[in-house]
Amino acid sequence: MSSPFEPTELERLERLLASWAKPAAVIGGLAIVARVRERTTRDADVVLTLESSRAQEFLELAVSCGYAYDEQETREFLEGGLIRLWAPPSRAEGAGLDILLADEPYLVTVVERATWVALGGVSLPVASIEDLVLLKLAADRPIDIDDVLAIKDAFETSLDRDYLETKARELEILDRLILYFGARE
Amino acid sequence: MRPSKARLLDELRRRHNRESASLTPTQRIERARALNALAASVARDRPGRPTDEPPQLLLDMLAHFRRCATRQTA
Repeated sequence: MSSPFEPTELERLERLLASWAKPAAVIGGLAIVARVRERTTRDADVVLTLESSRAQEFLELAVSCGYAYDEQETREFLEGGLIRLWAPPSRAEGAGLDILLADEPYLVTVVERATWVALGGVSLPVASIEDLVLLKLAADRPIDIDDVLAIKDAFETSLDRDYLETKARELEILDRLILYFGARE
Repeated sequence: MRPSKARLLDELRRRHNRESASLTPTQRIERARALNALAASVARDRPGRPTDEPPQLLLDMLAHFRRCATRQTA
């Protein structure tokens, strides 16, 4: 298996986001690699400012950057706010790129709070540590909880607990936040 | 893989082998269940294992965020 996130793939992602020129935030495993720790990931997940009515325009731009997509799958997933792309050489071998449309208030906030992080010779907008905690708690798989605990180990004293608790309450995951980070006095 | 988790798995396995004879059947089943869960988690962390979010998970998360936003504004 090739290593999908070689520098060329990061450059491809950087080129696509720069060409679209709208606010974005890398989330998921690649964001954890950028901000927290080394771990495996075969795709990138990006929250992007993109109205579904402009999806075709974005897809054409993605193709010009070398990405491919499946038309039928795209029609089905776009309704749910998701676009799935993949880089050469093929879907099975190339790096995947999942685009989540920032079309509801929380994901708009994720994009607004993202900051630029240098990774593998490129610079990408990456979701804040607090938003990575919230997104990982929402996903709630064993690998996500591992990531949450890695964030806790590295950043517990500097996390913005007010933001975390406010958003966790809104996203109905406050119990999970308290389970892993404890309740405040 | 988080080294601490692999070490914990080794330690729990040794402890299980030491104490197995003195455990009740219920305790043995519970201990085995915990060991299996931890071993599965360690296996998932091995380099090269795909850990990416399947599309249904992402779609479910997006739908959940929208439902929460709707409830917030209701």
